[in-house]
Amino acid sequence: MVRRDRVATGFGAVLLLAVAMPVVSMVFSIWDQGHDELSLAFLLQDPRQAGQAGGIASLMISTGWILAICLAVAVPVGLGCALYLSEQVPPGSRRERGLGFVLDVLAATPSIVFGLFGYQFLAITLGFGFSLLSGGIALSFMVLPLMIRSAEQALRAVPRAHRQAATALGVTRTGWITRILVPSAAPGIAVGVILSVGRALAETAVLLFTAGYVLRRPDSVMDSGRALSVHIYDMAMNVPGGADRAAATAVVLITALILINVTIRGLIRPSRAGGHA
Amino acid sequence: MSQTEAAVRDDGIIASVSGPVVVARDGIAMIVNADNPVDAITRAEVRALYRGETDNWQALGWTDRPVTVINKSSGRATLTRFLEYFGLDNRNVEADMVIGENQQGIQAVASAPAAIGYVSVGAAEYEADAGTAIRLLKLDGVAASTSAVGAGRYPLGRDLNLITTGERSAMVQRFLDFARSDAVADLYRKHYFVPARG
Amino acid sequence: MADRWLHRLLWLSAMLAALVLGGIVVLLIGRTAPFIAQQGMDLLARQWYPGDGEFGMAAMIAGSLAVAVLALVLAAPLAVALAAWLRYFAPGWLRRPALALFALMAGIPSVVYGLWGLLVLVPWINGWVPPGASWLAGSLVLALMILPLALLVTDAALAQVPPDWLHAGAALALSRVGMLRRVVLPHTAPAIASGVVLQFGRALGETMAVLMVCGNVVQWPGSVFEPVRTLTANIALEMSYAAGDHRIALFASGLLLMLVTMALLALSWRLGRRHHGTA
Repeated sequence: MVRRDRVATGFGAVLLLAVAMPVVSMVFSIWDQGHDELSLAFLLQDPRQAGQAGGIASLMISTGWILAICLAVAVPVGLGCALYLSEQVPPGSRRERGLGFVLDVLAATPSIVFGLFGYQFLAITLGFGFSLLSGGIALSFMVLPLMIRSAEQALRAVPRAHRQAATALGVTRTGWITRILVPSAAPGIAVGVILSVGRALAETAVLLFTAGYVLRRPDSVMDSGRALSVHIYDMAMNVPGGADRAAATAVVLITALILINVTIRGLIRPSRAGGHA
Repeated sequence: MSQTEAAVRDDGIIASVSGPVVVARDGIAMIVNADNPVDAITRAEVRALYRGETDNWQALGWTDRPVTVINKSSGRATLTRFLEYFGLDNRNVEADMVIGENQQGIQAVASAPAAIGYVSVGAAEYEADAGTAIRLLKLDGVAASTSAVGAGRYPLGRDLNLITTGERSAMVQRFLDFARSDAVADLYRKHYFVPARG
Repeated sequence: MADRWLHRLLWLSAMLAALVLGGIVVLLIGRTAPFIAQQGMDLLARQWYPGDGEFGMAAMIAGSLAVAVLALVLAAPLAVALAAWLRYFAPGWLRRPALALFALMAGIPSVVYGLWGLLVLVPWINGWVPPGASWLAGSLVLALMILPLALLVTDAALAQVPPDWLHAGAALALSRVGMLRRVVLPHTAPAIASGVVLQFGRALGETMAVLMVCGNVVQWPGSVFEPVRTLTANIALEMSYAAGDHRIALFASGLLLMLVTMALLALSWRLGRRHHGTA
């Protein structure tokens, strides 16, 4: 290796450390502050006393519902849109560029704007009020571009040979899409789902104005419910003595994210090696 | 739950209210960092600090250190009450930092040695008792504590209210009575507020 | 037959996405148009005293831009340098854990970044220059937040470089640094630039973290150690307590953010046009 290459290697290592340090310190301090509060009881009990006591069980339920609603909207619509882009729109056409621009704008839109939109349109105009439904749908709008882009990449990556073979065999459009294309692209689509889940779970601003703040277990999707991310904010910023619990909740949230990530990636790896559905 | 004057329409404007029902009392405490030896402050001193007339801790008995003044963001009842009590106009307040919720204020003061801010007495007392690095200042000689608020001695008090819109149904009235009853007094005390019944 | 239904279904999905964007813009404009027409230049000329009916946003627009620009200046070179380093200089075994680190960073909720900023970074800056909660604090936290994705985008762009070029460079005895400077980076610059501009949009849109560390004083950005307030933090801070015109003013600032985002994107598209689009 030339000398300047060696210097560059060293320099890069220093940069990496400089970046890793705050992150590691962040994760450590959260763990340090929160792990005392962590226990099975914390995960299984509902919050009491505005969250100063008890656990986060009802919040996990609310978060689960919000996530489910979000995915129920974002995955079909996202996949449909991605299929439209990859199957029915010629690359480089005006339609493709137009839709691409729209999606990019949505992707870059500040999350708080989705909060405002969700509040005004879903909560007030459609009358859903502060509810899991409002929160889930508003979140789905936010993750839609991410979902579409990941799915589209996965779909486009399917080898052309497959398509040619399908045409040669006289497979219908529908059959091609449902039996060959989507299953082949499934791993990439799953990654899109993980990314969307990650984005949705980490989001606070949108939910503050749509799903609300309520601590108890939701009876229906029209009830308000508090997501884990909102709880972290509330415990840290609103509730006296809540900092430890905020940290504990953050540990739970980050762990959940890592688990989801690892699980889905684990699931898709064997299917990739094994071939197709 | 803090003091407001009306009830909310969907554009946020308050339309009509059935008079506020006081359910608990709280106060607004001036707080400083625990490293700060100052433990009392007067109305005149607060005015001077927030108007930028005094900007060094030396003037209040500490070392030569610029004061970090912390204010609350507009629209909040704590701000309104604070300005009202100290006779200040928000335009004349020179703040070094603006916070939203009480806890943000507490965390901000706890992590900045030269800071001064104002938050709910209940929240501050809770945190100070739990070991957070803040100190509640005596205001014009009266200690900022929940007991002082309860006894009516603390000058900068504020009422915590429930408000309703339109006609009060029987159920709503029952809830309001419940909220002022002895059955829930301990709940208010647990949050370091003083139940309205005293 | 089924094909046609499928076709329509897919078209509908695509339209839904477009409708959402259209809906947001229409709703924001609808709600705020009369107010904006009435206020006119006051929205820029005056100061922000909503209690007195003054809704001047200029200082906050400057605050948003200042915090985002500095964050980008800090994060972008770092992202490119680290991505290139990981790909060309780092020992192979380091790649996986490093990428895992960045994936972790991307998954940490913004509230957590904000909390760390408030409890660790702000006091640290306070030790140098009070008050600590400042433009610099906001940009530092934001830089950390946009770094992972900026790095991943750069990495994806670097992956597109034809291997033949790298082989040719090696055959010509170019040092790795030389190859980077003269071959790889010039080729990937448009894609990297376009991806980085997208991250700028994200920085502009971040709310919770800047709310906790920027100080939130409405004033024109002066020294990096002084507090500023961004449009996003303003909405989060005041929305719950805003009524009537104040609330509409907040919606108007949301609209402004969207318009700036769209402008940025147009720029990003122009930059990336030379490169055949990857995400």
